[in-house]
Amino acid sequence: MGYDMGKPVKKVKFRVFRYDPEKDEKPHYSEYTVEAWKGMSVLDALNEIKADQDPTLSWRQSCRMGVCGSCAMVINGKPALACQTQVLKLDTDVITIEPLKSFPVIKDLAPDLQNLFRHHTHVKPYIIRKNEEELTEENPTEEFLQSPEELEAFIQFSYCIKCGACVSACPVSQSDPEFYGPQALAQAFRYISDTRDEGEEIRYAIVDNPQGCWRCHFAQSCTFVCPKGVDPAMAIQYLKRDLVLMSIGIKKEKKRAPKAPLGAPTDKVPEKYIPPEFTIAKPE
Amino acid sequence: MEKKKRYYPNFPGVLGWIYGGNLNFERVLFLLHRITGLALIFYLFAHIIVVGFRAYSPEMWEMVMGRISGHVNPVILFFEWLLVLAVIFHMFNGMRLIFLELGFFVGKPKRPIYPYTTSIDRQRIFTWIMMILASIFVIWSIFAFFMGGGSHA
Amino acid sequence: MREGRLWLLHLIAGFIMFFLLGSHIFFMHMAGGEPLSVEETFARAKNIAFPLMYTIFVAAALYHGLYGLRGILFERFHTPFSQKVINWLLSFVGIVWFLYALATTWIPFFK
Repeated sequence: MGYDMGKPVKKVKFRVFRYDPEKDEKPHYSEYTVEAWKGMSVLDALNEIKADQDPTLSWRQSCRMGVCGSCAMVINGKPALACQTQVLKLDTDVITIEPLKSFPVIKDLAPDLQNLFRHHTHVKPYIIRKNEEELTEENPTEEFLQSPEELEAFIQFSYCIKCGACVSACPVSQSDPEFYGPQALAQAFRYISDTRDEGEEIRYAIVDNPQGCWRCHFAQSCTFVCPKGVDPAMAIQYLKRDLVLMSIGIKKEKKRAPKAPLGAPTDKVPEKYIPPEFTIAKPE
Repeated sequence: MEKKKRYYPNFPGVLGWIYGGNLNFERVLFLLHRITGLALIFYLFAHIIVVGFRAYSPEMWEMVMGRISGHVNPVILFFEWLLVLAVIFHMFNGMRLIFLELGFFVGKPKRPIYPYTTSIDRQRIFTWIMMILASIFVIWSIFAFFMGGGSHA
Repeated sequence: MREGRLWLLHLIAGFIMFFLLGSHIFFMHMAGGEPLSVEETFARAKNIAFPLMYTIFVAAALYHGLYGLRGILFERFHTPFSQKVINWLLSFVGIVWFLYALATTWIPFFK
């Protein structure tokens, strides 16, 4: 079995969406031909195009390994991460690349993701405790204990890398930019099901809103395109179930994470750490 | 004078519902559910008025039914059949959505390990069952409408 | 809270209509036999079961349909004022149609 990564296989044509805000009135498509090698991702192809053929092509990229969420774009009609999409696996000779839908385009393939972050901030994506002293960094009072089962209840939704593919794929978000979107609603559910969090009343009130979870109609496009398997559709249906039960008076008691004394007492940490067995030798 | 930079508004709008290439099966069901729902609510407004003629007099009822009934006009029979198709689809997809949107049959949150199994895989069986039931009723309706199976009212 | 109750009512109306609309379509189109004559139609209206069933049926159908239409319209209109206008307009349309349907089912019963 030979390791033949990098072996050139065939020529592939790329149709890339172009829009220059200083020159263009309307967007157009440019075509480039790239020699695809085995193991080439769409991001590698874009870098080759920019290096050899057209240095004006713009897009966002960062980690090139599927953890940062910068390179989300619409590849052959489906939103995906460019670094995680293999050119040869797409099995066509023409690959169409466009920026994410339902976001304004700044230039070429870079969208303006303000809407995504605005809705995400709106659902308060951080642990809320009633006693704010518990969360300060300088003077933490206690630890929270969480069992592996309690972790499994929300860890799937914490894998979100905020790439925006789900919001771009959701049919409701495409016709309604004010809909919170699957990303924000899944993150609201992630914090509601975290036993360390005490702000669930605030978050339920935020998503119980004509533009909140009630406009989801379970088309599951968000789950279909999510590159990390976060499954926002499932989170939103559980959110609806909780809200409906609350609206008819059935309140579910939320399990709270028990507290324990701090494992590392803050007042005993010395300024400078000196191992107890030896002292620092003076130079001779 | 500087030319003002403009971002290109990339909003598909209502056509985004029919977004090509990204159409998973449940998304097609969502689109059809919306179209049949709109058709049915507007039909309902007209239907209540038409059936309301029954309250006036037998002669009025005969005149109305003589003009726009499926018994007398085959084109209207075909449209009535399309309506029954819409009703059957909307009913079965709606029943499916009642269960799924309340959180049944979608699975529990669990750590995502590649290759991912998501709520799409877990609700597929239920969806197929409802769609097969709907197809059975559609085939029955073809017999009832076009092959003299029956019409009552 | 209110949105949750309205949505739950939408689901309950849908569930009721699954059976009522199913049997309505069945009896109207698939049951077989000759179409009812005018006299038979009018005689049937005297049976108490028909106006009762139709009242529940029309209420559920109008609520379910108008809530769906409200959902689609709320995707386009976002300001609280326009949403209030849509709420009032759809409620008005619903109540008017419901009263007309009530009148046309119960008046032949009492005549």
